[in-house]
Amino acid sequence: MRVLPLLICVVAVGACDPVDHCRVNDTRCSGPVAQVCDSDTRWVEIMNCDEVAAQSGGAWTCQKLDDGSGHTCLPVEQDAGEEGGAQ
Amino acid sequence: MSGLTPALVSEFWQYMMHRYNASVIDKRSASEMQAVSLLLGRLGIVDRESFLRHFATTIGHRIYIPFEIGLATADWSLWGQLMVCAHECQHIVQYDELGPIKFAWQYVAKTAGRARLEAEAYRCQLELHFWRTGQLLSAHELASSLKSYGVTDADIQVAETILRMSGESVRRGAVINPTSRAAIDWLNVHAPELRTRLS
Repeated sequence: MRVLPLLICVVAVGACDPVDHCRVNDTRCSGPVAQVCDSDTRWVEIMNCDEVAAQSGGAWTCQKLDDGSGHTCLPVEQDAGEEGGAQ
Repeated sequence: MSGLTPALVSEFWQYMMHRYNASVIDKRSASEMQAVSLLLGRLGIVDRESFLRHFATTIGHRIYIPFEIGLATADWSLWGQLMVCAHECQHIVQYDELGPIKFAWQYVAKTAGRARLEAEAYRCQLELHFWRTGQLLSAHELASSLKSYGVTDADIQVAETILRMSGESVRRGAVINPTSRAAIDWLNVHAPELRTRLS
């Protein structure tokens, strides 16, 4: 019987705290959106790669930088074979 | 080759004011800015004198500026006037997207929100400077500008990350802010000679 109140508390806390907390200044990709963890430990948008593509031309996706320093929108490398060879 | 002239800066401001349905007001003579400066000073967001002399401010679609458009000063070069125009218009975009209540809440009540909104607006400077010079402004120095906005050190670090990640995209050809896109499109037509030709 002691488990039931504990379970209720756990569920209640979980229900009241659905926010995806994060470590400040971490970055990640969430679909097409590059995000950073702000000082409130919540993920916020840096930029939306679909919007970047619409404004900048070409295809852009959220990717991790090669040096591991973060996530941002990067242009999608075009496969030369798909275009019939590089010119 | 006309270069960066007072007339060009004036025409740019007229274009952006029309595009974003904005009006421009002399901050130094605006009584409402005196009241806002008192409020912000008491909230610890920004020093009163600094606010009145060194910052442009946007409320809704009204842009208050502490300089005369087209008249270069030590604090406000012609290029600086042009960049701050895009910056303030980006606040109008944010205001329209979030709505007045949410925008005000995020900007005034939350240091994290204020830092993020400003970092996004400072991205205009990053993008326009890159368009002109092919060089990225320092994300660290841009983010350090936020020290005057009453935000925390953690907020400044997050702002720096936003600007650094933005820079990685910008140097690969991205234009992220819609106001930067509008500004660059206008400059490409009216003052393409301002852009450094990269070999």
